[in-house]
Order: sequence, then structure tokens, then C-alpha cells
Amino acid sequence: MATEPSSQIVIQARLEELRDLAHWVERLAAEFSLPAAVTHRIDLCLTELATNVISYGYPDGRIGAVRIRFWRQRDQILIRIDDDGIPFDPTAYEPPGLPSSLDEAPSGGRGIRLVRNFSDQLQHVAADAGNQLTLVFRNPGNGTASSAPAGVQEPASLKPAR
Amino acid sequence: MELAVSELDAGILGIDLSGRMDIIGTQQIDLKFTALTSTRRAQILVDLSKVTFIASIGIRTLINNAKAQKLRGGSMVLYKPSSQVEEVLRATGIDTIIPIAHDFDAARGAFGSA
Repeated sequence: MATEPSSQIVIQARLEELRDLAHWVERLAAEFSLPAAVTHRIDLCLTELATNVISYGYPDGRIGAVRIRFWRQRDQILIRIDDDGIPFDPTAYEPPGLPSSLDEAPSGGRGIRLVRNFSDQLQHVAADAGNQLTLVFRNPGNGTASSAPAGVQEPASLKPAR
Repeated sequence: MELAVSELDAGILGIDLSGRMDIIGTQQIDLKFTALTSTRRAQILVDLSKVTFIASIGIRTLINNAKAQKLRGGSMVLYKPSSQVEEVLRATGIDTIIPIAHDFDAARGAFGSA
């Protein structure tokens, strides 16, 4: 079975490269005829996760590398993010609850909540040197399908996003 | 990102934001936005209609400055976000703590109740 991604990008872990990532998502949307709502969900999740890795993944100041691969399937999109930063499992992170008042609203901590809300599934695997995250986006509309990558043929087994 | 300022009816200060409110865009306007929204008491209408994208870092800036303005006795209303931007604001519960308005009369009413 073919496991080559439909598309991929490698960025250096620097904030300036976030715009390259956003432009890559724009190109995916055009190439695979993604609906605007799906494109926005992907854009938001990748922006939040990449911002986290770039901001906190390399406390020693090293400029790491982040690889993002995209598989377009018939009924879903799979995206896998590999980084070589310090371990961080967003599926184990408990974001603060929704604020009850402006006075009590925390300053930050909303990125992971957004990723859980705007993706359908999120899975984290601790890699030998870094992290591997897999995101699933369902019902992306019609388009050219490719096969799933090894290890994610059964997305139902992934930990549900919250 | 870009930021423009205008004096609106009823003494409301209008701040028009435009562009992509990710960490790069937010850093571009954050200092000016904070100076405008946090240093004196005001009713501030933040026009989001030309904001094409908002990430959590952009929400952080809105929250921090809305809080600072409240401490000064003023208030902030978010104006005309796109459906995608509003979806992100609602997913984080921001709509329950900073009013969102889609027309000027509703914004004026929100200032009255804030």
C-alpha cells in the first residue's frame, strides 16, 4: 500500500517560518479542493501546534526541524507532525476551563483547547528524539484520495480529541 | 497586521485591525494596541471585520487589554468578526466575557451593559 504523503513541508523551528506553513496550507486547499471550513480548521491546528513547538520545544535555543505530512483520503485528512524538540503530549494537557468572567479569564492556555475543538482526533507518540502528532479531519469533501500512512489505517483507534 | 484608529459617534474609540492575528501578526500590533486600549479609560470598539485569522495568541492580546480597560472603568466590544474568527472566539468562551456586536447599535447597547 502506498504510504507516501500527498504533500509535505519541513520548516525550521523559527517563528518566521509560520507564514511558510500557512502558505503551504493555502496551496493544499487549492490543490485538493478543500472546503474553506476544513482549510481553516487545518490552518488553526497547525498554527497552534507549530507555535507551541517553536516557542517551547527547544529551550536550549537550538533551531530544530518540524516536518508536516498531509494525506488526503476519501473521507478524511490525516496530518502528521514530527519534531525533534523536548517531549510534550498535548493529549495529556488539561487546558483551563472556559472563563466565567473577564476578571477570572486566564491570559493564555487556549491553544490546545482550540486544537481539540477544531480537529476530530489527536494522537501523540513520543519518538526517539522528539514527538509525533497525528491529526484527523473528517468529511473534507470530494477530492483525490491517497492511502493512509503506516500506523494510522484505523483512525478510530486514535484517542478522541476533546 | 495593521492597526488604524478612529473616533466614532458617542465618544467611542474605534480600533480597526486587519490581517492575520497569529503570533507574527499580533507582535506587529501588540504594543500600539496596548497603548491605545490600556492607558486611559475609554469605550473601545475593536473592528475585527478585516482580521482574516485569529490564533490563541491573538485572543490573549484581546483578553489582556479588555481586562486592563475594565480596571480603568471602561469597556471593550468586538465588532463584526468573520464567521471563522467568531467560531474561534466562541470555542474559547470569549463571547461570554467580551461582547461581540455585528452592528453599531448593538455595540452601543453592549457598552451600556458592560
